[in-house]
Amino acid sequence: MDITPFYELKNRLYYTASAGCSTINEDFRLKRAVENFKPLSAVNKPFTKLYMMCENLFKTDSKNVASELSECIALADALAVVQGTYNDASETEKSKNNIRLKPFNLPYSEYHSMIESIQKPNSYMIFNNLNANQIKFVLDPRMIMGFIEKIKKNTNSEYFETFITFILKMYGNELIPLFKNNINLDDPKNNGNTVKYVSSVAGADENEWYMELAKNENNPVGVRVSAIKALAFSCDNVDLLMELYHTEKGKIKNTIIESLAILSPPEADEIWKKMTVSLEKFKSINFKYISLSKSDVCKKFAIEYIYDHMEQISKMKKSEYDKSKLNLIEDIEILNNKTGDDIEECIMKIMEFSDSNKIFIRKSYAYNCFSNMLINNIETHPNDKSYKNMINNLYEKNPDAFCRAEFYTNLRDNPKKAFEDAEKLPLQQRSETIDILRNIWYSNADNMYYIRTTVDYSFSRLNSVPLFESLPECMLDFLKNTEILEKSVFAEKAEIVLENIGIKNKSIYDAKCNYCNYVSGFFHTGLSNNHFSPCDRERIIKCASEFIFATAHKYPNISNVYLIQHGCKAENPEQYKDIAYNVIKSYIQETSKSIHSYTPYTAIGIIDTLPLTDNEKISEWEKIQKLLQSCKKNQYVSYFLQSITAYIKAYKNNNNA
Amino acid sequence: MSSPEIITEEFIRSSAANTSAVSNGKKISNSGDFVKLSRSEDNSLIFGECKGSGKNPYYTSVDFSGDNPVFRCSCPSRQIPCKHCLGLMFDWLAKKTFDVQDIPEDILRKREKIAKKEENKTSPEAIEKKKKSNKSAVTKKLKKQLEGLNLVENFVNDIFERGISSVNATSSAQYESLAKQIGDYYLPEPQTIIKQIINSAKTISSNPNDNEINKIVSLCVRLSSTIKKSREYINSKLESGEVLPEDNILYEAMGGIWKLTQLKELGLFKENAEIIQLSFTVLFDEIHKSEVDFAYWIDIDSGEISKTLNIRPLKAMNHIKEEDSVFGLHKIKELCHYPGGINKRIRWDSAEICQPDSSIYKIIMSKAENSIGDAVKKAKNELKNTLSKDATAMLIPFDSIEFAVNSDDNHCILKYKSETITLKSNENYPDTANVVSILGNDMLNNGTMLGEIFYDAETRKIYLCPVSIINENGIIRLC
Repeated sequence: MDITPFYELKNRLYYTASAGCSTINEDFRLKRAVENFKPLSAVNKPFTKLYMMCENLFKTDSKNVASELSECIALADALAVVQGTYNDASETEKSKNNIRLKPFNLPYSEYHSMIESIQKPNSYMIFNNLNANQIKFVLDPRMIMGFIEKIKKNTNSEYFETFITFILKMYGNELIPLFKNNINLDDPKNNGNTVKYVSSVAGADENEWYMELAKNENNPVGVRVSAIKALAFSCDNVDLLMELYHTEKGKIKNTIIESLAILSPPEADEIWKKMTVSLEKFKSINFKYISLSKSDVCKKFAIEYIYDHMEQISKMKKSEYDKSKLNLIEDIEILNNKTGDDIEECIMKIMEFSDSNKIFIRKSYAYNCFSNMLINNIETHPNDKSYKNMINNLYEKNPDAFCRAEFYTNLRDNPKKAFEDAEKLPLQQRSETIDILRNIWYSNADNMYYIRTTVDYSFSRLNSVPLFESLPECMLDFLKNTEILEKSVFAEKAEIVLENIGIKNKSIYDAKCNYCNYVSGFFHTGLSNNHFSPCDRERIIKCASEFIFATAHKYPNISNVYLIQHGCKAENPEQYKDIAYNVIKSYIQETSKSIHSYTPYTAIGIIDTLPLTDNEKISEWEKIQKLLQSCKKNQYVSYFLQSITAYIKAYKNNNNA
Repeated sequence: MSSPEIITEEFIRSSAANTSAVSNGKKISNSGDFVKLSRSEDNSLIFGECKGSGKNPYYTSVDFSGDNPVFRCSCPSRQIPCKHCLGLMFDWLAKKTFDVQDIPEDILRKREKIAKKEENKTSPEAIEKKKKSNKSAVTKKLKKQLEGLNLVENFVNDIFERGISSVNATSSAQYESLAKQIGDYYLPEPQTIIKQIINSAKTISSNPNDNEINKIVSLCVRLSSTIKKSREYINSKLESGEVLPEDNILYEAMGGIWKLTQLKELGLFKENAEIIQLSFTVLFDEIHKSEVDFAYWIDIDSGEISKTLNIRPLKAMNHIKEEDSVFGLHKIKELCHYPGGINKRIRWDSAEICQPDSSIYKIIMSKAENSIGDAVKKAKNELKNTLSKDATAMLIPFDSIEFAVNSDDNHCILKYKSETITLKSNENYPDTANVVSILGNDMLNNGTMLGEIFYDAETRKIYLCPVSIINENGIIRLC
């Protein structure tokens, strides 16, 4: 039975109500709808009733049309509900989802706050710190759908991005199909994050999907841009990229050029040739593409660019050199992703040039920049040995400058060998290796140690590569080795190295203090930030104890004091004496301004927690008190002196009581 | 009398005002801030002294001498229980040593006061006196409400006669003052609907939208029906002289608020009920500017699906306890229910919460409707009532949940025997249909679904909005 007239009548009643029923008698559309409904009114009693009520609306003696109209609508609504059908005859298929998605009995407040918290700073830490059982919560379908909905809303947050990539790395097999199915191609503002996240984990495995998304001109620009970027994962896409290069424009064309730069096929040489016709006509906007490409055309131009840069600087007087206009450190990025003898030669020439022209105030800064570039090359081309060979060659030519990159490469390939080699390094280079070790951290999610490949804010699996399951013994041996501070041969070497890098005024003693500070700092940062596995924590504390009590008296630093708070213990109680005193003394000797406001509390507090007798503690504080009384006064010293005097007095009174 | 034995992690969580109070309480316990922990010999009181920011410690206690635990603390926090009370309970849970001590005198005095108050309340004279004063007050109130209903009727009729577009800048000021006036007539619910109509009408005058217009018409119709039914209800009450609240949904529709004692007096309660929560969510009530902790429950014995609402107005958000999902079986001495048809609202004073037996899920599944058709029929009877909610929660069995192929939205379809129904999210559960779509096959076969049946006027179809899935292994919450 066709009940369309009923729905037409219902709609007309709504229209009349919204337009006003004061002139209902003239509403011929409603009248017609009522007339059309008349045949249906015989079907059942409620329809008859509705028909009669509607007819009454047009009677001139009707006093309260508004109320009657309202009743008609109420009845029509109720009848519409009764008429509502529920059967769905669509053709169906069963779910193909993997069964690893698992609902958990998580309280509403907990899973909601988890979903909300992933956009907040340090959110990745919440998940990094979850144990292997808890991390499975992300497989709760409500959580997954929460993430998908956030992606659909084009959430842009680096924390969110880190987190999503992180869970995709863990559960990619289950999640990638879901993420793909839930991409919203109808939203013109879709920023393509789904493709970005999936491609960062799946790489070329999802190439067909990227191709499909990139080719379709009706897809949102954001999605196409991300898909074209993802095409750079496979060399098979060169033809498609070249085809798109000739037909697309604007943002999409720029992305195509970027992907072609990464792949660097010979077909794209014409593009680079056009960009690098001459140095004068080179547009800075194209710097990124030349830097990304490893093609010969770009390599040649990059070298030319750097040499020209150095020539310009050499023609200037030192006072004329303006970093904002000619920044050699920034411009060496153009050598990214390139290898070969000519590149090595170019890098060595920059070194020589900067040494002779004193472009960099601190050489170590320049060394770090080069190391970071070389390390980045290894990570972006994991299967290309030429980048590793280049580091080896450069290290042989200038060990001071490239020891960081060399140590990093060795550490990734063969940790044992890396530490064996590092044992032979002079003092300054050892400090550089310790600096690299600061990037090691432990993931509770898969019980692995990782090393950060880039130095940025976070320690997450996104920017790290796996190293080992537990800290190798050779690493601990390397860290606790204090022979470097005693052997004259190293000391001599250290002096030469320090001179080499321009630290002439610093004494060898200072360099040793600095090294000890690096090692203690490594222990302290790692223990404070839980960068060691629970099993290794005790090993590290033992190793740190050996190191600090062997060095703390001669080369004091504040990290030693903190490490005692973290549980480092001396074999002999006598070794606790003077630890805090020496730190304060070293501060005062260097410059009394370095006594920061926290130092008094740390020194007072730490002495109180040491396993010393009351009298020994008081003697320790009194030594510091005397030292402060004897040194030049300033506001910090006075404040410190005041605090420690008051503390000693209170402590003595308490003991007497 | 209860006892500290009822303290479980879930009990603490359900007693706390919010999740941050729980974590603060945990912190206090973990850092050992209680310098003294004591208990009475009969275990009716646990108490302690907790380090605070001031010179003196806070004196905290949890008193189990009555039916419900009483939380007391000398800290300045307005939250009850405060973090110190929660910390004290966490210390009990952690099995820290509580020394046996005499009950402090001030607590004994407070206990006495409570007992006296209770005695006064339950004395026959007091009840009779209260009834008398109540009766005259209620009669006065009903007469006033009747006057108010006339004003509301004028408003609705005015809108219907002049049309929705008549609510413009000039007339809206007049309507708004009328809405304000309605507040004097003890009709908070109709007043709220009027405000919503005015706001929506103002919005569509600048941006016309068919759906929004239809929504306003529906609200007017609802208001009109409420007026009509309420007027009949009040008149009959005034005529009969039986003016106190009775088992009728109109009391609430006019803005009345039920007290547990009133519900008990009317016999709207069940003794020794056992219920378990099937779903929990937090809804935002735009009209009342409040958050509502909303949960569906099932009575293990009768299979009846009921709901709980904890309304937290935004203005008083910090002072009202947040509720959360609970997973235990609730054994309740007196379970009160509100008047109404399906999905009655339930409330209770205290409950004993225990771990449900794994067989309970089979029992829940056995309480499902016999067929999709039966469920839809019952829901339709409820939905066609103008004063009822837009959706009805039912327990529906399924053989499988499958995906529509060759359709634009690839929606899910619930299948049972030869019948099918489309799964679709509604306003209350906007993501649940999507959550179902990503579940593994093991969860999509041979189970029972708790869902809200609703009617969509645009497509003229009845849909099922998934809320939870129950299978032999447990309850899969979809939100």
